[in-house]
Amino acid sequence: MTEEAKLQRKRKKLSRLTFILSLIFPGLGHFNERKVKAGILLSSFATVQIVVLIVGLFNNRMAWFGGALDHVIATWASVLFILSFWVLSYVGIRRSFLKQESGGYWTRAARGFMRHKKGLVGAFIVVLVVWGALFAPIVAPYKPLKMDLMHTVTGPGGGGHPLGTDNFGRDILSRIIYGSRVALGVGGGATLLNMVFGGLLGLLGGYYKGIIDSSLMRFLEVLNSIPYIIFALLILSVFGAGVMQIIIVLGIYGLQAARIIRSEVLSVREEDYIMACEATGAGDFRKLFNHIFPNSMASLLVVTTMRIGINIIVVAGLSFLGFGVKPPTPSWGAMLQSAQSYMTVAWWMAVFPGLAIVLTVFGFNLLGDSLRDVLDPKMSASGR
Amino acid sequence: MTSYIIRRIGQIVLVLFVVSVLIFSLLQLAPGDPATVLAGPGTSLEELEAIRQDLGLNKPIHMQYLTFVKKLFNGTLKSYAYKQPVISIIAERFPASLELGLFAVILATIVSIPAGIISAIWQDSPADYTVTTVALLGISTPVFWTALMLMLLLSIQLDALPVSGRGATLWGFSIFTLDGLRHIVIPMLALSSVQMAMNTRLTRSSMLEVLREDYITTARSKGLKESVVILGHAFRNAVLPVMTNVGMMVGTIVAGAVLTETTTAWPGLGRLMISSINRRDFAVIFALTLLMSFGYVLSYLIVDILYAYADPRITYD
Repeated sequence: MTEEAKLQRKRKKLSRLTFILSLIFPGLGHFNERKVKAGILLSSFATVQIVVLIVGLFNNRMAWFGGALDHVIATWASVLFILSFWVLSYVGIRRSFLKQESGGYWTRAARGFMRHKKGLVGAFIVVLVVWGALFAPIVAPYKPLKMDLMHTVTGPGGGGHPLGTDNFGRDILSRIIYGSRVALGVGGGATLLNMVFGGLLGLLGGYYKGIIDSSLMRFLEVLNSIPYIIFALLILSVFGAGVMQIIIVLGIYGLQAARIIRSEVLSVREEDYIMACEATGAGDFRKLFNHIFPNSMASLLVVTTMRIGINIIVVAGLSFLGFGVKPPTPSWGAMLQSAQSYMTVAWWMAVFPGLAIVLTVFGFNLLGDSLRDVLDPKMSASGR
Repeated sequence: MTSYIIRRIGQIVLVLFVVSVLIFSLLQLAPGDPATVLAGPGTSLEELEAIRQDLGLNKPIHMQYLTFVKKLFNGTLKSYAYKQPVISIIAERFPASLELGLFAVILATIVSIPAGIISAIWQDSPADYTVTTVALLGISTPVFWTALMLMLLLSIQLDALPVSGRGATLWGFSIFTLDGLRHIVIPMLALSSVQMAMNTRLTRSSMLEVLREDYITTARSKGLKESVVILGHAFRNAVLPVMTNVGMMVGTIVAGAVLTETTTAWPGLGRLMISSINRRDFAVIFALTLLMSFGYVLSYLIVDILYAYADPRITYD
């Protein structure tokens, strides 16, 4: 038996142990491969999620079936998360054995992102906020509407309320955690609309040019000539304020995203490979969705991430003006609005909800900036 | 150039027309009858009918639109709530928005351009990290929360500045009086913080792009002083996008700072807009929205024209 074959066998044996370990608990396999950082991350995340699930089920803040909808969602989401940690750890180990060095564009981008400190911080903040929104029933110490009438307008730490209470004695921390649902739901929903329709319009406009393009541009010009907040306020005052209305209004205004996608498509469609593709007899549909769209994906992704931040701020602003989500539903903007009347006596009512907005939006912006660095070699060269 | 400007002005008129139709039809959809709002409670039917007649509310919709626009232009369109011509109400509030917006833009420009240049020439230095982080925080912070925090810190905790309002004015402006100056600080800082952050990021990225160009290397190899290279060669070429942004910020002055003005009780156009929306004062909403759109499109035009003057490579035909 040659030396090389021996090594190969040894490696195989080792790898079997690693695979078994990674199936027993997420991250264990990584420890065996001396990938301590990844191992700690995976195993601790999985542990936290399992603890959350068990604790939640025991104190009735989560439920398998029946009960409040968000309790059921929280339960199944944590099951999904736990399973995905298992899959992640197994797939990660497999990957490391297959030893792909180069990989495609996205693989390389992902690897670049893992080395990008700013991006990781942003991703961590975003994940934390999304996680808090999803598991609000178990993370929040109180129910968001529960009034502690013994402790109204109590400062941080008083009466067992870590960030204090508001004028109704409602726990600020809990309301902030539940408020993230409105911010992410409305901000995210509006962004989704922006991207799906803005992306589609941008693709079509940039590809077909002509009348589609010019009418799209004229439409955007009209939109662009009305201030964002005024546009939203006018429509909301006519059709009434509410979650759906805000999502739709911001969804329409954010069609501005089409502009960026359009300019991207305009440059991609002139590339040689699109001509080559045309030469092979590909139709419009195929060229658009198999070739031009994937090549514009990167900028779409960056725009989306940055857009969520803007939308979260605007949603908060609308609620602050009283045109947003109606009280008592906890939302950051509305919390700040009510804080305004108690500014002289209760600074905590104004400080903490605002910090939540800043942290969340900062996370998304960090993520967006870093995605741009990683995904676009032209731009990252200039350090944008 | 002249034909280009004429064409652009034609486009502006078209855009404003579409905006006015859009806003008018939106207001038609709004619940509530303007005549009852205008008359207030306890008005007889005859009086209501007279008001409708006066406003042209009993005519077909396109005629209503025409009377609205005609009245707006000859200055007789009256606010429903104030019972005064819309023009005079807007003229009364405009100086407040103008001084707030102008000073915010000036402050933002003065701070952001040096900050952006410094962070670009010393890329990846601690100074650069500080500037980029602060700027990113700046664009992540809602302007009304900045205003609230400034009020909390400067007015309530330190008791150094008045909490809100505009204070004394002279010739319609509060910057000419000491009391007015004390009042403008908080809204101005809040409003300019976001603009400052955006403009810093823009200056930085635009400078970085230019600093990589070959002619910068050439300039350095000629033995020019670094300050000449940075300011004379690099900044002059990087200034275009920055100028665009400043131009657009000036354009938004007319829109008033809705959130800043509401938070700090600054009696400008933005606050007028909010109160008019709350009162369903259609005439004021209509006029204000048109004015704001006008400010926007006009600033785009001026920026484009300035572009051609600043950069001889750009020609419009």
